[in-house]
Amino acid sequence: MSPKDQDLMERYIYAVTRRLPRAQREEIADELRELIGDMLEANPDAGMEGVLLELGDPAEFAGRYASPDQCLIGPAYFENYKWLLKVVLLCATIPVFLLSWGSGVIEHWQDGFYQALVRGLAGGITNAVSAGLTGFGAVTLVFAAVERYERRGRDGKRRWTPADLKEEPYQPAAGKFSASPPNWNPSGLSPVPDQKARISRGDSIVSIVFIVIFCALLIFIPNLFFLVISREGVGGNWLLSSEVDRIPIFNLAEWGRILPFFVLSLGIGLVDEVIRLVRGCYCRTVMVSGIICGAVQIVLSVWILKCLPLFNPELPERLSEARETLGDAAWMVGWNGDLVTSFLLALIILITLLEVGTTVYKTVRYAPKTAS
Amino acid sequence: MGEGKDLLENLSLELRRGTLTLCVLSQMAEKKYGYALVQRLEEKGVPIDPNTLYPLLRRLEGQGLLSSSWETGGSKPRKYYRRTPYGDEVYRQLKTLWAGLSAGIDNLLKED
Repeated sequence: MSPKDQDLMERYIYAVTRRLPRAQREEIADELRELIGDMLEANPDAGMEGVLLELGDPAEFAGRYASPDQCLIGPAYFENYKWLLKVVLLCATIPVFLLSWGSGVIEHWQDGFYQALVRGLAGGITNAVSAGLTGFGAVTLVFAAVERYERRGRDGKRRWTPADLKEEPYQPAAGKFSASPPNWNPSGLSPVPDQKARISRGDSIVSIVFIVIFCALLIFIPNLFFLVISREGVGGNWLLSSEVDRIPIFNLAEWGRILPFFVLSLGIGLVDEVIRLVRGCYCRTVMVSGIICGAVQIVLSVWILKCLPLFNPELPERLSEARETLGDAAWMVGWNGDLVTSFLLALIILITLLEVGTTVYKTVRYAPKTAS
Repeated sequence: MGEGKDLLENLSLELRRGTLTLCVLSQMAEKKYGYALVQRLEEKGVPIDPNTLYPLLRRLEGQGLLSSSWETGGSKPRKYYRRTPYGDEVYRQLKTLWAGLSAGIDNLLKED
């Protein structure tokens, strides 16, 4: 083999083996050297180029060594994944983009209309892209985890040893061309749910959409939630005027501590909604999920509202300043921090209990008896 | 027109892919090295590309149907494969399966 041929061969072998797992590289490289040598001997006229041409694209060759079952997200879940991805991306990027842009415009209003528009746009695009990427990553991660978990379960169930082969008489499955796995049979099908037991798909989707939007806003533009205090008193072009203070409601300085719990609570709500969407009817799973998620959300609400400094500490001060300039309208402006948090907490607990109560009632009353 | 040709090629590939393992196993009662197997299968009328055969041999070894050993006796080191006892058993049963299957298919095709 001439040095030129040798070089060409080594390049090909490198191109193939660098795409393979480290442990296999050396051995497969040796196999390839053996193969290429044999092919060259058998077809000297073709030359090294001819032989390599016959072996084909090294990337494709390397691909054939891979185990055929590998998928990040397999066919069973892919449709669901695509659907959820669309929903999440739309809900995360569009509102974030619009509100970010708007927020930016308002902030830079003093610099002139076009300036404000452009600077707001830049902020809008950045935030929207971040939100989109984050959403994409989160959904993909969840589905990849589910796929991995499922596959391990499947492999575990079917593991058998050569000893099994010798014991039972082999029945050739002649004529049985079915591709479905053996561990399923019709008695596993759940009964069709009663009309009253069904959960409207539309309701679930709307809830999911709202939760995702709210989450995206909290993460990317928390300063969107602001109170407006006009120095000249109530009235006038309060949104854009410079005589106005925009005071964030939330305690942005501590946001790093607070946001994770907020998002966690919303995330749990999201999981519950997704479970309801997937099951499509009231049943034990939905009921248990509702109770657990409701309980956790109440605990988190107590934590966020009572133990963490959720609200902007400057609020009481600024509001009482404003109060002085408002005279008659002063009753509108007051901030008793304890009162507000207790009120919100009571509201949240009430709503959660109502939801859980409804779910339990509907499940007990209408759910099919044998379903889980 | 090109599409039709691609489709036929794909379908033919699928058809042959199912029988590859059986074909390979049938020749591995005695030890053989990769390219010798390529040539033998071609002689016998079932040609198979080396870039399909080599990964397949590796896979069959991973599944316990073949065992391999590197022999450095000759002019260059060679990897030899042969069937394991488990491989013998599986081959025997696949052979029976094939007899039944091909009889059934012949039957179907005869009616046309």
